[in-house]
Amino acid sequence: MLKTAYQRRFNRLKSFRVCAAFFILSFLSLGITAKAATEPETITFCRANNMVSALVYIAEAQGYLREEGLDVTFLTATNGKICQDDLIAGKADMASYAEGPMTYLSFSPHALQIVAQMEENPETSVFARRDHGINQESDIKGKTVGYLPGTVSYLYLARLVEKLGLSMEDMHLVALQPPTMPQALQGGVIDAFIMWEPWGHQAMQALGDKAIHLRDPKLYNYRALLITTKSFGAEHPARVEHLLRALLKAENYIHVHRSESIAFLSQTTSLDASVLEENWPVTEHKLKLDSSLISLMQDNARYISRDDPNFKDKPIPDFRTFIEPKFLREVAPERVEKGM
Amino acid sequence: MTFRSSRFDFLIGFVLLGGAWFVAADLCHIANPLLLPPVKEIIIRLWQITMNGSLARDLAATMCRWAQGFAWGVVLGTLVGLGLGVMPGLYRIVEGPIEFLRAMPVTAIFPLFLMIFGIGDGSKIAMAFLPTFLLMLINASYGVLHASRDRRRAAQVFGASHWQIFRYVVFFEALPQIFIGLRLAVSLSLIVTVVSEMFIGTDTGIGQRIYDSYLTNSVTTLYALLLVLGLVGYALNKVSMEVEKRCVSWAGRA
Repeated sequence: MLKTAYQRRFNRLKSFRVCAAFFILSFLSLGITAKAATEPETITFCRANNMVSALVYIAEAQGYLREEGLDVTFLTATNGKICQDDLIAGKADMASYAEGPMTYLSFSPHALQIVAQMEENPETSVFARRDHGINQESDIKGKTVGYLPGTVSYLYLARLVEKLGLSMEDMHLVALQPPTMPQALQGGVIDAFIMWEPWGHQAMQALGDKAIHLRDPKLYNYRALLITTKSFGAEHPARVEHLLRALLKAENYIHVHRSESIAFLSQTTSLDASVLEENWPVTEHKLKLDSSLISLMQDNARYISRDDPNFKDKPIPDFRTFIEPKFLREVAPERVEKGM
Repeated sequence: MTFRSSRFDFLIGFVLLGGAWFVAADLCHIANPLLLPPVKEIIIRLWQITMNGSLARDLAATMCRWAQGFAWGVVLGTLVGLGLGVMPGLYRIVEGPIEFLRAMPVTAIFPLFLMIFGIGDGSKIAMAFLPTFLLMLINASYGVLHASRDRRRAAQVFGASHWQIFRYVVFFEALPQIFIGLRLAVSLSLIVTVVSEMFIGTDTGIGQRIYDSYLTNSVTTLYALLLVLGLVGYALNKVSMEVEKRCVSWAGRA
């Protein structure tokens, strides 16, 4: 009897302990699950500090990244090539930069993929000295022209030369860093330069009527791209998709709040608001993937192969293989052209 | 175990480094070719840019800028330094500004030079000139100021004039210090010349070509140019050491 009562009490105690342990474990696991559910998804993002990253800047400022549960650490670089290097070195998971560096990289095996196009921008153009006899594009023949090899500056020049039926030897080309170009034009060391903003605007302001801005938006518009590494895309597809959703919200904001966007981007990128105003109607802020990007990059590659001895014997890359449309298709299928 | 030293010992380090690179990049393929391309490809690229004449053109442009800046810096820096050395009162007055300029990273003065000399060769030559001038000035004046007083007095006792004391005693006392400045200036002015080509931009020049290769992701060309630049720097340093050894063979002896 005594033994049985003792056993009963023991069994009750045992049951109580088991139940208590179960509840504690359940509570703990619930806490862990809840924590996992609320813990933001992290991305290290490198952005070029210019209009290429317009949607990214807006998404950050408007809190769309947080809304999508993302905790983004930003690295800011003065040009896209630095961001590309960060991706290759594994220091960044995603980046925003123009298609120029990606075109050059695609001549070599690499592990990056284009997730989406974010912007089409015509700001790269010719800024010239009117008082040096340049009144139209064809007048640059025989003149000293500043440009920056390996960038959209060169890609515009290559198209311009072809359009005018000239060759690179028909002018004296001088490789210059962007900040030195306005000064070189002002000092008369060069007759013209091909560059993006704010350098063109600086030259125009300094020279006034002596300078002329020659632009052909149909000739070449650079494309701002959203790029990630293949490994990050494979391991964290949800993060890429959340980022795309945040950028879609930013795109909508830009279209609805034009003047606020211009004021904010002018402040963030140090671009004059008047330049942004001027370029706004011909700049397309739209997340998409279509065959025009492939055509543009193939043209880029053709010019590079023609002009740069480092790429003379290399075959034109198949840019389709560097584009991964599945993320954008998941988020906004109508933004992905059929056949991509 | 003892090693017998040979005049080719310095090559062992290069061979070991090149061998490790070859194993990592060419044989085992453990290195990312976008960061460390195979040795074979770099050698092929080096051969191509040598044969098509572009390397010689760029190297000549860089060396021409460097030589002008360096030569002006050596001549003027040494003369001013010697002058300040024999006038300690004046040296104390200008010592502060000189040290201030020397302490400032020369690349920080870059935009100022750009504004004064423009984007042509003038700014690049001036950039090579400034560090050379300062190093030579400081070392030459230091050498004069610290010339042996005993030897000066001995010359005075023998009735030597101020000019004779300077020419036959002080100058030779200062020479080892001048050569120390010269050796430092060789490397620094070459670095500054290449960096100024990268920063400002130019038609031809190793610095510009290195930056172009970086922008266009031509990694093999980038490494080939760095290899050449390293060899040039190494050769210049060896030459300056040899000149120093021959010209001031008495240096370090009592």
